[in-house]
Formats: sequence, structure tokens, C-alpha cells
Amino acid sequence: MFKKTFGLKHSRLKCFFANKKGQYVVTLDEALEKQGFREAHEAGLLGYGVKVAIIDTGIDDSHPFFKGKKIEKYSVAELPVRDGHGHGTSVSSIVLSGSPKVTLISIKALSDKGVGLLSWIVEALEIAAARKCHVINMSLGSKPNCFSPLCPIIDLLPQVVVCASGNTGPAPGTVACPAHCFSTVAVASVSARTGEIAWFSSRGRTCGLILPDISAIGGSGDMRGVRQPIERLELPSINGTYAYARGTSFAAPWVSSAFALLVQSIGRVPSRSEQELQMKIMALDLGRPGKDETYGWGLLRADRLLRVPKYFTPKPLLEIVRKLLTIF
Amino acid sequence: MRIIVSIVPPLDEEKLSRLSAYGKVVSWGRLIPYVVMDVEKEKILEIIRLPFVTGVQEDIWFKAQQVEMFFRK
Repeated sequence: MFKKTFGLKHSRLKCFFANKKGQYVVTLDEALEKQGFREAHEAGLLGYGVKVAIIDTGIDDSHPFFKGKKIEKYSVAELPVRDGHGHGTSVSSIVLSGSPKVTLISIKALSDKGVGLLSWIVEALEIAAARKCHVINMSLGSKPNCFSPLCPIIDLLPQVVVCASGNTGPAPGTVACPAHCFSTVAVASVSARTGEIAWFSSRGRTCGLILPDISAIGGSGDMRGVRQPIERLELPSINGTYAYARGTSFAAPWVSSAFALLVQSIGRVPSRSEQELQMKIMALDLGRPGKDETYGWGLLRADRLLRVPKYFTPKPLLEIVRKLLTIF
Repeated sequence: MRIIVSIVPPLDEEKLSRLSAYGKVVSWGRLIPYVVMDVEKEKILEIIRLPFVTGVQEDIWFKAQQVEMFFRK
């Protein structure tokens, strides 16, 4: 009667586990509340004028959730623009929940089987750069490779690049490529109920860096829910359906949304050092004090964006300083 | 085999012609300095030694980072 899927196929049968004992479902509203997005929205931070690129399986914007949203669609390697997998649509829905007024640039670089070649991903990054996006979300990965050409390429990009840390935990040193690159923000998944790191979430020092950088709600639990109860997110998906999903894929877009709100707040893309400092400010410290190899800086709290520090010089002020310098 | 090579910017004609000596250049970035090439495996070590090359990797598969997804209408 029921079909369990692990990414490659999916079932249209009615979800059976929503109320099953020991398994939990987190709605978008609940996740928004627990990560402080409501307060940020009430303060006027909604992502106005910010472009967020999603490099994923595309988007199926036929779902009522996407009505009235600004969405641009691209694809690479002659893939059809429409999402036939569901992953990209669910990731996009999280970004549009956290920052409802952003312009979403969906770039399909993963096929309808949820996989894509490195050359497709690099091509997608070029589209994102050409479209002058402010934030790039990459909920994808492969085995760690410290010498991957993706790392120097991402280092050159002026955008904030947010990546899922991977689902190969709990062993240390398992953070996926490209999350382990110096210039990316690696996001781990934590439980919405307990704040505990998800069993599957990749962690630990990888390529000489303390990773992950930050944690967000992306579901939790081991494969059978024995060591840790299973928790899934309820997300809009393809063909007007809802998906129940978990994985660091669904934690990364919350952080992308938070950076989109930050870009609106300060009027420009923060530098890498500013990103690190901002993560320290907007995270609720979990685990060991400071940045650790399990939670990074801690759980994302978007309401802490309202405490934007003085070192973030707004763009208009920078322009005035530049003009004064040219005069004198 | 197909490989991706990242280059120290800018990606100019000279660098492209030097790389094309090792195999067929399939495509390259206009904004981002990368080259997609078809080369023989033995040539990869020689490409890595080029002074303007910052990274080389086979064109491997990446996958969406979900543990599982279920659907309901």
C-alpha cells in the first residue's frame, strides 16, 4: 500500500506516517516561528530587492503556495525547466517562506532523478553570477574532495553561497563537497522539537575547517527512528502535492533566507568575514560554547538580524565616502 | 574522460590554447574561470602542474541532499 522512497522515485499515495507514534511532522509555520522569522518579517525584513538563486532540480510553480511570487526559471544541459523530482520545489518553498519578497531564480542543474554532473553545477553557478544574484543556495553534494575545482570557483564569486552539509553523519569529517569549501556556508540539520543535531547530519573538521558553520531546522532521526525519533518537514511540492521530507537540504534554504534578509537590511552582499561574524550574532549557541564541530555557531535565529552591528556600513554611506574621496 | 579545470582568472586565449594541447576543450566559462575538457587519464597530472590551474576533478555526479521524501495529495 505504501511506498517508501529514497530520492529516486516518489509515491503519490497518501502519507501514512504523519500521525504515527514516535514520528513527528514540522510545518513551515512552526519552523518559521522557532527560527524567529516572524519577528524579522514584522520588522519589515521580507527580502525586498534581493535575488536568491536555487541550484537544484528546478521548480514546479503550479502549487498554490507559489501564487504571486517572483520566479525566474533556467536550466542547464538542455534539461527541462520544470521540476519532475520535487526536491527543488520544496527547497524553493522554504526560501519563499523565510523571505517572501525575494526574486527567486530557479536553475535546474539536477535531473528528475535528483542527480547532476559537476559540469552542470558549474554552468548553473555561471547563470547565477550572470543574473547578479545576492545569495546562492545549493542543497546538493558529493563526497568530500579538498581539491575540487568548485572551491576556487566559489571563492571568486561575490555572492553568499549556502550549502547543505550532507547526510552522511554522525561520523566526523563527513561534510560534503562543496559545503567544505572555505567560502561556503555549511548548514547542519537540527530537530525543531529538541534542538538536537540530526543523526544523519554531516559534521566535523573537513579540509582543515571547523564545520558545519550554522544549524537550521531540516528534520532529524536515523533511518528507522531507533536512536533518534524521526522528524520531517511538511513542504509544498510538485503536482500540487505536499512532501514530507528530511535532510540537510531543507536546513540550508532557511539560512539562505536569513542572508537574503540581511542583504535587504544592509543593502549589499556581506563579505566572507562579515558572514562569519553575522552567523555568530544570529545563531543561538548550541553544544559547546562558540563554534563547534557539531552545531557550528548554533541554531539560526532570524530575529537576531535586527541587531545588525555598526560595522555593517550601508551602501549609500559607502557611496558618499567614495564620492568625497574622488572630490578630494 | 571528462574533467573540469578551474583557472586563475582571467581565462584568456593563451590559457585555453595551452590547455587544448592536452585534450579537447568542450566548453569554458565566460564569467567564471573554468574549462570542461575531454582528456586521457595520463594527461591529468600534467594539467595539474600548469601554473594557472587551481583545481582539477573528474565530471562526477552530485546528488540532492535529502534523506527521504514522501508525497501526499
